[in-house]
Amino acid sequence: MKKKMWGSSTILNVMYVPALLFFAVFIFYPFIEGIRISFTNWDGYSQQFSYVGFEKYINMLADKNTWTTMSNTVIYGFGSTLLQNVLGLAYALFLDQQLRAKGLVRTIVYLPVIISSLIMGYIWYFFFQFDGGAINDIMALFGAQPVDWLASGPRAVGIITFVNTFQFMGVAMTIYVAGLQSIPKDYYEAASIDGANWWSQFKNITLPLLMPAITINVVLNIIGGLKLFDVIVAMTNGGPGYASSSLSTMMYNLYFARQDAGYAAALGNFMFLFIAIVSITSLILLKRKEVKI
Amino acid sequence: MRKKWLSISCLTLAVVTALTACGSNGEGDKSSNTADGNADKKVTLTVSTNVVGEQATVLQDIANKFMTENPTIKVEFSAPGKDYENTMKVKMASKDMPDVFATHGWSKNRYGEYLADLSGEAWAADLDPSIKSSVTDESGKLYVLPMDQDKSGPVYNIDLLKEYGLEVPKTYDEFLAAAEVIKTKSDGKVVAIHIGGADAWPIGQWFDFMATPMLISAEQNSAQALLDGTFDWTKFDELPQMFKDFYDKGYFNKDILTSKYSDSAKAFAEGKAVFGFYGPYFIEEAKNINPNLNAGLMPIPSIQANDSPTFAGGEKTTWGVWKDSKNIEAAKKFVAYYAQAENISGLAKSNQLPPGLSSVKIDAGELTAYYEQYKDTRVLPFFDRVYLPNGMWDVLCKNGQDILAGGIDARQYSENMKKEFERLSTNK
Repeated sequence: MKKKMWGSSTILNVMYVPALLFFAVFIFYPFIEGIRISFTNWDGYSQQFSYVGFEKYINMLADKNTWTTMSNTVIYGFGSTLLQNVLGLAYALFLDQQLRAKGLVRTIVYLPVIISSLIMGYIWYFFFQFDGGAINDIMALFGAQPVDWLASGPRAVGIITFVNTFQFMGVAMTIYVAGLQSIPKDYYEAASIDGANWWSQFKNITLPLLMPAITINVVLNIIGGLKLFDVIVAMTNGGPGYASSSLSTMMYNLYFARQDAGYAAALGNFMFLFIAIVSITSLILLKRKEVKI
Repeated sequence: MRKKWLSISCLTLAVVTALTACGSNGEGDKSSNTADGNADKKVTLTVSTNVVGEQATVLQDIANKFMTENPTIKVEFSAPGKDYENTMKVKMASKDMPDVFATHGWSKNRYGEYLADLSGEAWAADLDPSIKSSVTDESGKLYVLPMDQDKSGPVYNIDLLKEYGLEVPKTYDEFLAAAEVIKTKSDGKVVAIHIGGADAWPIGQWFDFMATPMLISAEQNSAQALLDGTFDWTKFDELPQMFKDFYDKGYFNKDILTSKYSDSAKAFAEGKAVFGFYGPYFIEEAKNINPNLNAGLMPIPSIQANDSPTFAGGEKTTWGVWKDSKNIEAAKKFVAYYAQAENISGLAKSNQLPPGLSSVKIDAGELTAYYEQYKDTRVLPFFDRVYLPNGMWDVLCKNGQDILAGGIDARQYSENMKKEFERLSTNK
């Protein structure tokens, strides 16, 4: 009887308790608290606050900074995803050939991934800095006037997207290399015998069979891009004003600097919904395109 | 069925236990923190400060001496740097403050409700009259030990000022004239003021300095209107407009929106900027880059007619005691140790500022001469600490960036100020 009570499924259930606890304490509880706080005017630290209904959500929708930030976040998310996937796939296809320096190229492309995003941001800041920045110094050699690269919001957004792509392209590349290696070579041989050229082989064999890798890459990149924070803080701190801010940096700023925790929580909930909808939709759409070998 | 029930019971019990533990209000057993004033048991004091670098080392050295002389008290000293403010906000929210902590200018408005009254301490009688109002309230509660006191204004490069044949400007008009001379004579290679605007707070510092001569220090002023919430915010328009005009005329560094505070220190150290709108600490920062820098301190120029220059003042390096500390007596003993003349003197000297206790003689290193020279100049509190509700700093900074980037104009700047002023004033 005793033996039966502590059967294998009970033990398994008990074994996942620690993971469940971590999830409950660090994800679920803060999430519920975040929803509650979004209906208050809490400043983020004092012991008193009042419930203000949907006021913070109304403020959020009426604030022009929300929409600037939203449009930046979309560019960070989708721009990085597009660039990382195109470049990652290009490198993967390049490395899927018989090359001597294969290992070296793979290491070099992957290397930025292991650096902290904050440090990566500072490194690129020194490239784009107005006074003494590497790019302006090189331009000066050719007699060109220095440019304040990060002073314009849209340009700063583009540069940050590029830096994020540069850093995480290696992850996409690695997943694509693995995906390419799982495609049986026989398919290409058969296609060659039938007279298919490189493009039609790529379009009809590589791409369809690479869909699982594309799905995982796109979803990971979208989530990463939409949550972008460290690089922005290091390069522009979201400025000028909120011109290069993402939803994450604006939320941080609202909570700690503006002392408007209610607004920050409302924006956080909005961001959660937005990322959830985008990532689930793209997952469903891409999954439909996957084919079995 | 029973097996399933057992699994669910185990899970529920574990979750409830964990959440109960997380929700604890800290009244549980803290073995090292129970012996308040008891010589037999070791007490651990948590101490946290916002200061970094040389000043943090001075504070830590004093803490080490304190531990040697008081072997039953162990001090856990932390100086998290720029994360300090955010860390403290989280600690305030969870009502779990360090036993002793720094208040960086906000002892009354932000940290007041968490601080014990120190007016009964022996050193309280020696409080310097010029800092007293910043750290005490009407009821006589003394919030912190002010180890030094801020006497802040712009700093300038003495050699460059001489080179361009300029005097230290006393009014804003003189300042504008000096900026034009600097621009013309240096052919645009040297700027009047360098601001590391990408960090945002240096822009706020400019506004914080200049708001006083614009709205507070003159005989006809808006001080009372700001305090009672009746201020006409169209009167504020002039300040962001001045800031924008200064930039448009090329008197600030061109990369004001993308350079950082460290770039300002570098530019000032290398003679690429004549003035720094930061405060005396900026000289120390620049001297780390160029030890031969010859720099001085000046009061903030006046703006209104018949007004005179002022310094911005208030608390700088402080220790307050958490009112709910389990080791309150040990914490007060720790603070009293810092109030000893030799400790106050060493700390004030490292900050190049006057001491907070009148029993200690002023020794602010190279800046002593300036404090002597300007001893009769009025010292008014930092504008934002008195006239703006807590939380407005970011509004000053971000809107300052926005006006330079062309995102808003001076009117919108003031409107944004008004909106946030009202929100933060009526929040509680």
